[in-house]
Amino acid sequence: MGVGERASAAGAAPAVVPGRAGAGRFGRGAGTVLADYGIWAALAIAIVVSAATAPRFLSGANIHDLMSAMAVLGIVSVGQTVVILSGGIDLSVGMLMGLVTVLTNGIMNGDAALAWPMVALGLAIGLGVGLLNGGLLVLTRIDPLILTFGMLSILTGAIFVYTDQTVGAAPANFRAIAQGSLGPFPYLFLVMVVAAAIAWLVLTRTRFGRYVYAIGGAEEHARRAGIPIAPMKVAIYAISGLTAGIAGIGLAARLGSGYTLAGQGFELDSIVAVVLGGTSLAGGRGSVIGTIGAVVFLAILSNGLNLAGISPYTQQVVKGLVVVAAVVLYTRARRA
Amino acid sequence: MSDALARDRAAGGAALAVLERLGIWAALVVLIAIASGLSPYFLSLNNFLNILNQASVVGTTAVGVTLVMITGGVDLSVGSIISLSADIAATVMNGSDGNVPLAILLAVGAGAVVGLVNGVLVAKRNVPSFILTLGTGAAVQGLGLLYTGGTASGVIAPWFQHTIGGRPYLHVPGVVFVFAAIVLVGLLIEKTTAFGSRLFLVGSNIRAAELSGIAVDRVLILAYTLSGTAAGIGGVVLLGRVGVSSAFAGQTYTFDVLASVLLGGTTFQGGRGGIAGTIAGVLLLVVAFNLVNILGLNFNTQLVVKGAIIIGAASLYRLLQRQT
Repeated sequence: MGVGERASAAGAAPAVVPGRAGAGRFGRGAGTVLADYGIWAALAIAIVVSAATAPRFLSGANIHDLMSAMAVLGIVSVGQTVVILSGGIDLSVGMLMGLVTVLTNGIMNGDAALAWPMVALGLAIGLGVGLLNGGLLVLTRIDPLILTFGMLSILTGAIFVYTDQTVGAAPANFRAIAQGSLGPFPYLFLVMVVAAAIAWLVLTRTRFGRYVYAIGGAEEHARRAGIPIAPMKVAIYAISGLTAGIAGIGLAARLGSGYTLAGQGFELDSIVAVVLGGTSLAGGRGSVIGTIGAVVFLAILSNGLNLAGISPYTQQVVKGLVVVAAVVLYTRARRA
Repeated sequence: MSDALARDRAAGGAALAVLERLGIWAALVVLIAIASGLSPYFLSLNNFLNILNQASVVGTTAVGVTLVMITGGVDLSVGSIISLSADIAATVMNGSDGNVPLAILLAVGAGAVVGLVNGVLVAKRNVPSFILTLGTGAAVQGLGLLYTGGTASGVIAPWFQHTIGGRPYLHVPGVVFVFAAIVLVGLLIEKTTAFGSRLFLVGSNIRAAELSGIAVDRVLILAYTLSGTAAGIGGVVLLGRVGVSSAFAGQTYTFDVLASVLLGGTTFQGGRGGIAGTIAGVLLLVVAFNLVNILGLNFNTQLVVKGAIIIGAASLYRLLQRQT
């Protein structure tokens, strides 16, 4: 009795759940009752509690801090939303951001003349890695989680091949990307809003957007319906790479130097934001607006806990439990 | 699914399984051959024991994660469990031999409890395991940091240092004995118990498993509990190898464990693979690093090679699958 017999027996069994292989890869069908509006309730509660416990919460200065703190995660999460809606996942975005941070700061090294070329470089790296992800995915047809995990490792190696210490410095004009404001709004916050607005319009108003949802809902059905899967996937991962590149530029400007592990954790934080925002990890349902709601919620949670003087370690426990609570509440307690 | 397709799958299934299972071992043999060609030192018994020593933490933990992934789930909390377990073992031991049994019990028990929580939520609430274990992992890591204050804490006992951390018998590291024992237990569970075969049924088609009367909830809860337990043991092994606890030590292990399991042929879809393949996957990664060292490439290049190996191996499996 070998593994093969078991596997082939499974192949011959009737497929109960149509569409994607297995009833969802990471657990089974994520029915989402609360998911469509749950994040807004959580957000409202977070705002009320924060405002009640810390009077400084609603001050103009604090709100300004909040807006700039959330922007980098918000931008990368927009691309992650598109990928997850299509039934994929992108684990490479964090280290991609890290690579952009290290390279831009390292090359500039305080030279103001290089600021704009470095913005172009960041966008090019992001787009390039995204296209590579999409291309490899189409060519090899391996699971996107494995592919982008492999890419995460390769990008980490690339960062450390370039340097194993914090390098370079951002000149004032580059730092202004993170520090400057248009009226009350930090530039990066506006970038996040624009990115989210474009993604929302594309996802809800264009054929491309309908295709993304269709592929995420049931890839095989989408293929049979004549949707061009391969170019769609390349485009979807390119979008994710591009938003990670933009987020990387923002991170580089915020930090002002090339810290090697700057991007670490953004891959998981962005997935958390997407899922908290009500997008199903199985693909096919959710929205970029929900993701932005979750990004705002996470920033307020962090800010509120900071203002309340809670230690970073306790904050980590709280954040973990919030993720667990959210995913438990979002899931219908019944097998699909 | 059409009958013809099902028939093809059934006919090709056995051949495919052989190819898949041999594939990872073949890759391992090729890597070992290359490494031995490049360095006479590579094939020495001592280096072999070093490789097993280096593989022990990831390998021990990966045995448990394999069980979860056979069911079609994933456990991303193991890295945090490894850290917490090492912290608990070191602090409870506190330099005294008499405390060692309690220390190991509490450390492994903590892992089992986290696994139980994961299992209950996956089984009873049908929560997606990926995001759930991401959350429990973050919470557990926070607990570990709170517990230790974020610094290395505790002192390991002399007996523990000598037996687990040292080379007690025949010059074989103690952690290698632990690793071997866990692999053996894991293989016995997978190959000989009813639970073992139910894992595959649940992973292949959870609905069919339920309809055929299998207590799916119990299978899932046990799988996640065993995964947490194995990670708890992994933490004890880590403490033995390194000698000091560190709140962040385990973090990097989650991805390595995942890569080993995937390389070994246990996919995210569930229902296939197994512990034997996982062990080959663990060894493949360690030997690949070893090879990169022999070639004189630095640690940074190892990361690039690791990524390339993961993508390459996964692509190879996919290719084999498509041929049948």
